[in-house]
Amino acid sequence: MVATKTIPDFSLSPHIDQVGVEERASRFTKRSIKNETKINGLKLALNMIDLTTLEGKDTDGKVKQLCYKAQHLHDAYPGLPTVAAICVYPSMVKVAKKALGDSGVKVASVSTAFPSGQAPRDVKIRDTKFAVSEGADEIDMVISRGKFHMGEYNFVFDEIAAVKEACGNARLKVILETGELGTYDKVRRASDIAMYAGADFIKTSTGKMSPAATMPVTLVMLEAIRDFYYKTGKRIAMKPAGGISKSKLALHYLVMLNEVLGEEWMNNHWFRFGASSLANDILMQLMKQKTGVYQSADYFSLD
Amino acid sequence: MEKVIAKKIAAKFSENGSHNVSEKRLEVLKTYKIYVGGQFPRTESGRYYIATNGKGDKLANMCLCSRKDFRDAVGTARSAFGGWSARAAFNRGQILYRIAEMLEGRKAQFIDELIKQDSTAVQAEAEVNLAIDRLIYYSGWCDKFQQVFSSVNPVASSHFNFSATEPTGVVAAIAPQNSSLIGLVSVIAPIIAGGNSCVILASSSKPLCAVTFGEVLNSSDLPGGVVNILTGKVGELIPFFADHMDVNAAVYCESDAANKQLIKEKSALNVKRVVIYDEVKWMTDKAQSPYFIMDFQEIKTTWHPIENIGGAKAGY
Amino acid sequence: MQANYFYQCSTIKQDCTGRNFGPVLTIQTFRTEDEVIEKANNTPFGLSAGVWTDKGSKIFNMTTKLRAGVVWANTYNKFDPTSPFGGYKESGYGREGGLHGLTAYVNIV
Repeated sequence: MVATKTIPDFSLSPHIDQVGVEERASRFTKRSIKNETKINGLKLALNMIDLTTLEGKDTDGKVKQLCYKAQHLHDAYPGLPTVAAICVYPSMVKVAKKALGDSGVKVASVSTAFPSGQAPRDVKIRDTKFAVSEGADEIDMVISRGKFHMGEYNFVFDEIAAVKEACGNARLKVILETGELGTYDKVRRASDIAMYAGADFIKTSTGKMSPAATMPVTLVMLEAIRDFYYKTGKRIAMKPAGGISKSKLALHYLVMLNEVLGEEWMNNHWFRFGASSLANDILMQLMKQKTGVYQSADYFSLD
Repeated sequence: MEKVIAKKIAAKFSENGSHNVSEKRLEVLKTYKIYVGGQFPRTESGRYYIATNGKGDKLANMCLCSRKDFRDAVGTARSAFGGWSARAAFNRGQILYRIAEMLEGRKAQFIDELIKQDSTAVQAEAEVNLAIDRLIYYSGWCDKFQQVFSSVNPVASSHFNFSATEPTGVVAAIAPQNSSLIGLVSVIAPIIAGGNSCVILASSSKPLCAVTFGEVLNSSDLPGGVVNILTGKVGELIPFFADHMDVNAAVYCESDAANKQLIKEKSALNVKRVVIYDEVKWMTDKAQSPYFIMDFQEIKTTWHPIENIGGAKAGY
Repeated sequence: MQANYFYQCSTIKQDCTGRNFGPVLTIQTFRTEDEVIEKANNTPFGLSAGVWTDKGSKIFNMTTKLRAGVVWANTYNKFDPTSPFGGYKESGYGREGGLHGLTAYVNIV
């Protein structure tokens, strides 16, 4: 379990067969899942959610409200888990931290000039340090996609490493913004860079653009995690974010996770969903299973 | 070279004066599908049943919709409700008029389908004519029933107090089973005239016109999802029509006591508005009135203060 | 019962929707009008609502979008025999009072 000291040549990252990976990803959607397993899967998915609000108009009130939701997903259904974390901007970390208290729900903060990442390195480092000092348990950084496209992989690598250092004990999620990378080859390469540079998580998207997370992109990243694990013995976590709003899709992701990385990854330490509306869809499915009748959004609080 | 071939083909087609198409051609039959969200999907279940006429001759394969089809249709009806209810009443009237125009243009097809389903030619024409007229009737009411059924209330305090109509929301309806077209149209028209969206289960035994009516709706500027038409069996789907929590009103048009009871009981779960039309003769004038629109309207009362200057009480 | 208030709880929390017949106030904040309408309608009930603003056009904007049977502007819990009372959704059907309260007693032919 010793991390390798050798940094590979990232231009040699494996190339991805687009058609193959998309076909493979679509097959995970064809599994039949028994009812009881489905309910367990839905509860697990709930517990993996990073409930997110990342708006310019975020206020203390909005964040407190979301923190309430994180701890009381649906009081009419006893025994539900909480979500994994609340994801906010650095300026809201303190509010969230206080509102969540000792509930066990973590506070994640985006940083490094999220979502574009177009700022000097020292600004990004300060942004990160600020969030950590306010109490963030996890930092979601964005990579410099411009530099990545220019082939300056060392720049991207060094930046991630520097942010990782600034994180201290906070876990670092590295957002690739796959929608801006363009090809699966580049997604794979960016994943490799992030993992070797010290990422604890690799994450698909900011959620600020479309396309965000897709199953094939996530599959490419999961396979990168698997290869990295075989090479270094180090486990990396995964977070698809954006565009996952239906329970059925969340279950497809869990099937894929289980079949690519295995049971070790099937918990919220190693896998997260970045989503805001997924929670209510899962709650509606769970209530449908419990009561036998189709539900209405009127019965589930927005936040 | 190409010209020679073209000439040969032309010659072949003009044998005996003109090419006789009807004898050699295989007729293209319509696949009857369902109408959901402005599209014509098949049932998610992949099941079908065979629609027959009274003698038992096969007419077509129909989708045998499942509860999941119904759930999906309610979802699209809910999404469509906001936009449709926010349309200007006059605009809804224009669209209902447009539906009538489109139906008029495809009259022959509907008459043909009605005859296949055991109507005489005379009955069939009368039914299609009345369906068109009924749409025109409700088209006219779209921007008038509000004025008839709203009120300004003479309250004692200094408030402008008024009560106005508003659509109930998503309506789940089981269409009259003994008619193919007029029952369906008579139920749908007042629901959408009032700004609601709906999911309707066509007559199980006479389903052809319902699907073709979906095609009429689809070419009438009616936004997708406002009307969703399913085909299938009443007995299988009725519990879901009544207990879906995102449905605001349920309509049943038969006199089956057990089904009426079931609808009433299950609707109580979320206090659905239950509307039962078990004695309506759809081919008569009694089957149309603004009260049918009011079956799917809520009354909202607003209290607005009136400033009171110089001691003189102001009010209406 | 002691007076209580719940600040920043959820709209679906029992205290918000469960019809407490006691001195309980639940409070939530909002930023935009769209948001407050969305929150106000995020409930299976719809008996009544209240709006406080000194802008007439805003009152009517709000009152048309709130899914409730009675909407009070700059007042609350006012009743009058001539004013219909009754709810949307799970708050029941039919109205009492006023012209609309009479419809239940009329057989229209």
